[in-house]
Amino acid sequence: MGRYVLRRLLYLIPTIFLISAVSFLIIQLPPGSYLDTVIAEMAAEGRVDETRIAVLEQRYGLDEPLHVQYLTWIGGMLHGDFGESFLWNAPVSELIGSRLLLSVAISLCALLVTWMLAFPIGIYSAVRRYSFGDYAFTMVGFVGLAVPEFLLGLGLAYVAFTWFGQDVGGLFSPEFQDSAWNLGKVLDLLSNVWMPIVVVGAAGTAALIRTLRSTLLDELAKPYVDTARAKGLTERRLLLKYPVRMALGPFLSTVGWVLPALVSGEVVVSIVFNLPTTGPLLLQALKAQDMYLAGSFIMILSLLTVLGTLLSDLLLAWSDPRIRYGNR
Amino acid sequence: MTESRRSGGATRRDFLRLSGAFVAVSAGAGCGFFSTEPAAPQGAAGAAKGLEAPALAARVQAGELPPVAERLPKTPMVVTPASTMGVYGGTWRTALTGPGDGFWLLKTVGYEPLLRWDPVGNTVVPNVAESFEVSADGRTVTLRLRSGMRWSDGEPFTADDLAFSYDDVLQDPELGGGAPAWLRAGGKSDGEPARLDVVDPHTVRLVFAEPSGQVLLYLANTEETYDLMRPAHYLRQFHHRLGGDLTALVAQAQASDPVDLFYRKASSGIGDVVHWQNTDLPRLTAWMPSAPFGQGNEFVVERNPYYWKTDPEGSQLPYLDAIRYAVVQDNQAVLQMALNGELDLHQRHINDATNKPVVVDNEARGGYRVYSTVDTICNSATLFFNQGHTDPTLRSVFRSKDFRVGLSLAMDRAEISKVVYAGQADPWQAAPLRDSGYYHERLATQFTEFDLAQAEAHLDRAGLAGRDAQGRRLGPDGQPVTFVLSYPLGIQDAFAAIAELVRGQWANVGITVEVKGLERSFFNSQVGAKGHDAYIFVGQGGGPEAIVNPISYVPFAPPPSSSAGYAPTWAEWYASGGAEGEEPPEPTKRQFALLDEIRGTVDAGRQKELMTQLLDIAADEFYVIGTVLVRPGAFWGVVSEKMHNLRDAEQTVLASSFFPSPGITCPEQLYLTT
Repeated sequence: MGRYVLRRLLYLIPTIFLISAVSFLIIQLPPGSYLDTVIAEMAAEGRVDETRIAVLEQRYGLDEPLHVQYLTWIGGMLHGDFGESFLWNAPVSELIGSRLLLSVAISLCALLVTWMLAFPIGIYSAVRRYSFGDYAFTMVGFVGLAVPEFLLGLGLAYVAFTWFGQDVGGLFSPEFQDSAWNLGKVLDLLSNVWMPIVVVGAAGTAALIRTLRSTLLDELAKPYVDTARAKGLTERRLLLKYPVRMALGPFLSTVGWVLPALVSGEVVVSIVFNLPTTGPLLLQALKAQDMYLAGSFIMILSLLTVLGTLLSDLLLAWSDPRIRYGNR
Repeated sequence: MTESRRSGGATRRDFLRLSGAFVAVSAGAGCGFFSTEPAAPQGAAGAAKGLEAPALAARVQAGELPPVAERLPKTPMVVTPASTMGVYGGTWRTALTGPGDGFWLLKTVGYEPLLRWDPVGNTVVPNVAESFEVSADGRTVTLRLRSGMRWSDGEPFTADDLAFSYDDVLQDPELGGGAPAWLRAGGKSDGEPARLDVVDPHTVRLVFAEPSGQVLLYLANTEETYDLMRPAHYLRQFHHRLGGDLTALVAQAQASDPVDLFYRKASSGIGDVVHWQNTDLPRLTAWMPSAPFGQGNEFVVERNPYYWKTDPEGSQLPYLDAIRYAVVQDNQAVLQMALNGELDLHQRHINDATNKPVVVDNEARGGYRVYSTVDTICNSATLFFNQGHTDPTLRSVFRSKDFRVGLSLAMDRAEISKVVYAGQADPWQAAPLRDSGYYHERLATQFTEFDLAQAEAHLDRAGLAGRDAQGRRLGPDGQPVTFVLSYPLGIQDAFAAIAELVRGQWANVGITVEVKGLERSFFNSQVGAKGHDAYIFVGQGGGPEAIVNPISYVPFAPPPSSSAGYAPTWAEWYASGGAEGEEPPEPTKRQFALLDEIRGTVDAGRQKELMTQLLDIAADEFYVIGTVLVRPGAFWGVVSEKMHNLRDAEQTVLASSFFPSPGITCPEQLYLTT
C-alpha cells in the first residue's frame, strides 16, 4: 500500500508541470489579448481612446515574448503569487479567495442533497426493478439528466417569480439586503438559496441513480448473493454488506471529481441566479482574455482534479482489496 | 401534598414569568435577532432639508468637517432641479456587470467636465469652470475656475491642478500620450500643442498657434477633460520626476516601475477600474467610493462633502446619500432586478426593444416607470464593406458605388423593421438625426426604397452581370461573388437577425454571403488588422456630436474604431499625413480638407456650412449602407416611482456616447421619497 501511494504521488509532479504549460497555452490560443477586450468595450460605447490603450499596453507587459510571460507566471505561482487580474486590477488569489466560501457551501449542500437522494433511490430502483416506483424514478431521473441546468434554473425562476411572486436572484430579497443579521435574514437566505442547490443537485442525482442502479443490478444476479441468501442472511443486511459495497466501485472512482466541482461546479447556475461565486468569475475571465486570472483558475481546477483522482485511487484501494494487491 | 402544591404554584409563577419574558422578547424583537422583519436600512430616504445633508451636519458638529460655507466655493454652481426641490437622503440602487462595465460608472457619477453639455439648449455651458471665453481670433480660450472650490479631501482645486495635468502628465513623454488633436494648433493631430498659461490661481488660458474649432465641445467631455483635472497635490508624490525617490512606493504598491505606480494611483481615466479602487484619490464628483471596487457583490459611492454645487435655495448637492451598484454577472440578472423593482434608475444592459414588453408589463408590480431615451446613433445597424481589402477582386467589387447601391435597393427594410424591431424602426441610411443640427435629407433617405429591378440594374452596371448555373453573380475574376458578413457577439441581439435577413434578401439578387457572429474581442482584432470582408455595427455620430465624430461620413480614423472599417487604408493615409496607407480618390481627399477646415474654424455657423459640404460628398460617395433607425422609445430606462427630478423623463433622455446619460441630466439633483 505504501509503495502504491508513493508511486501515485510521484506521478503528480510531471502531471502538474504539464498542466501548467497546457493551461498557459490554452489561454493564449484565442487570437487577440485583453487589450482587444478593452478596445471592444470602448468601441461598443462609440469612442476608442488610443492614448489609454497605449498606456495599458505598456503597463500589462503584453508585448513581452510568450516564454517570458510563462516563466514569470509559473515563477510567481511557486511562492503563492498567482499574478494579477487585468480586469479587476487585483491579485488573483484575493479574487478567488473572497468567493470560494460561498461556492464550496453551495456545491457541498448540493452534493449532500444528491447523495441523500441518490443512494436510497438507486438501491430501491435496482432491488425493485420494473416496479412502478422504479419507472417513476427512472423517468424523473432521465428528465433530470436531459434538461440542461440553465433551463431548469430559468424554469424554476420563472415559476417562483410569476406564480409565487418570489424575488429571484441574488442571496437576499431587496428588503433584507441592508438588514442586519436576524432570523428573518436567515430565512430569507434559505428561501433564495434552495433554488441553486436543487438545480446543481438535480443532474448529479439523476446520474448517480442510474449508475448505482445498473452496477447493483449486475451484482444482484451474481452467485454470491444467492449463497448469502441461502445461508440465511436477512435481505437488508445481505444487500448492504455485499452487492451495494461492490456497486460503490464506479462511484468511488469518480468521487474525486467532487473536488474541482466544489470550486466551479455551479458556473451556469450562479450566472442564472446571480450568485457571487467563483464560477462566473472564471467565465468572465475567459471571455475577457484576462489571462492570469483565467490561467490560474484553470491551473487550480486541474490541480484539484489531480488531487481528487489520487483520493479516488486511495479510496478504491481501501475499499477493494483486489486493487490493492493487484498493484503490489 | 404540600410539596406537590408548592411545585404546582412554582410552575404557574414560572409560567407567568416566562410568558412575561416572552412578551418582552417579542416586543423587543423589532431590532433583535429573532425578528423576521427587515431591520431598517441606514439613511432612509425623505429626511428634512437644510443647507447640507444631516449626516454632514452631524460631522460638522463633531468637529470632523469644516462648516458647509467653508466647504463650498465662493460661487457654487447652482443647479435648478428639473421639477421640484429635493430632500436629502436615500440610496440610488442600480447595477454593474463587472469591472469591464466602467462606462456605467462614468455615465452615472463620472460626468463632471470643465464645461458641460446642456441637452436642452444643445449648447456648452459652464461646469467646473465658472465661466469661459474664446478670443475673437479663436486662438485663446480662457477658463475661470471657482474660487474656494475643493477636492473631496478638502484641498483647494486651482489652476495648478490643470497645469500639472497638462504639462507634467499628459505631455510627459513617459506618462502621457501627448496632447490630443483638439488641444493642438488647428485641431490637427500633427499641430503644435497648445500652451497652458496660469494667469492667476483661478484662471488658465489655453493658447493655440492656430485656432482649434472644437475645443469647447471637447472641454464638455468627461474623459477628455479628466486628463486636465488630476489632483496635483496628491499625485505629485507618485510622479517619476517630481516625486523624488519612488523605489519604496513602487515596492509597496507592487508596481513594476514608476509609470505603473503612477497609473495605479491616478488611473488612466474615469472608465478605468483603478479610478474606483483607489479610495485615496481626490475627486470632484458628487459621490466617491467608500470602499475599493471589486470587494464583494456590490460597489457603493457616497456623498462628497466638498461637492461644489447647490440648489437654488443654497442647499449643498447631491440630494442622494449614495449610489449602490449591485455587481451581477449577467444581463438577464439585471433584467430580473428591474422586474423586482430593485433598480431606482437604470438605462444600460437591458434597455433594448427585446426586453421592453416584459419590463413595461411589470411596471405596476415593480413600482417603476419606463422612460424613453434617444440614442444619438446615426443608424441601428450599418453595413460596412472593407474597401481596403487585401484581395483585389473583393476590393474592386466593394469600391464600386453601383454594387453598394444595388445591395441597398435589394434590402427590404420594412421586413427588417417588422421582424427585428417589432415595426418600431424606419428605413434610414447612416446619417445625422433630424434634430441633430446636421440633418441631410439626401444622405438619410437615398436608396432606402425596396426596388429589385433597380437593384439588379445597378449590380449589372457594377460589372457583375454574368451569372453561374445557380444564378450567382460572377465577379471580375469569373468566380461567384461571395464574402463573409460578420458581426460582433454580445453587443446587440439584433445584429444576428439582421444579418440573416440581409443574407436572404441579397441572395434574391444573386449575391451570396456567409454570416458569421464573432466573439467581440476577436471581431475587433480582425477589423483592427483589416482582415474583414463586411460587417454589421451600430452607426456612430447621429447627434450633435456628428461634427466631432463624423466617422460614418468620412473615413478619417483608422480601426480599431469599429465604425471605421469601411476604408481603413484611406484612413491610415489621412492619419499618417500621407506616409502610410493608400491615397484616396479626389472626393475623399476633399472631405479630409473640409474636416481640417472644420477643426480649425471657431465660428459655429461656418462649421455647419463646411459640415454640410462634407455630408454632400458623403451622400455622393455612399460609403456604407444603413438599414433602419429605431424610433425614440426603442431604447429606454427604468425609473422608480420614488425617484424624482429625472430631467425630461416624461419625454426623452438623450443618450450619447459623447455626452453620457444620465450624467448630462444632472444626477446630483435627483432625490428619493419613501
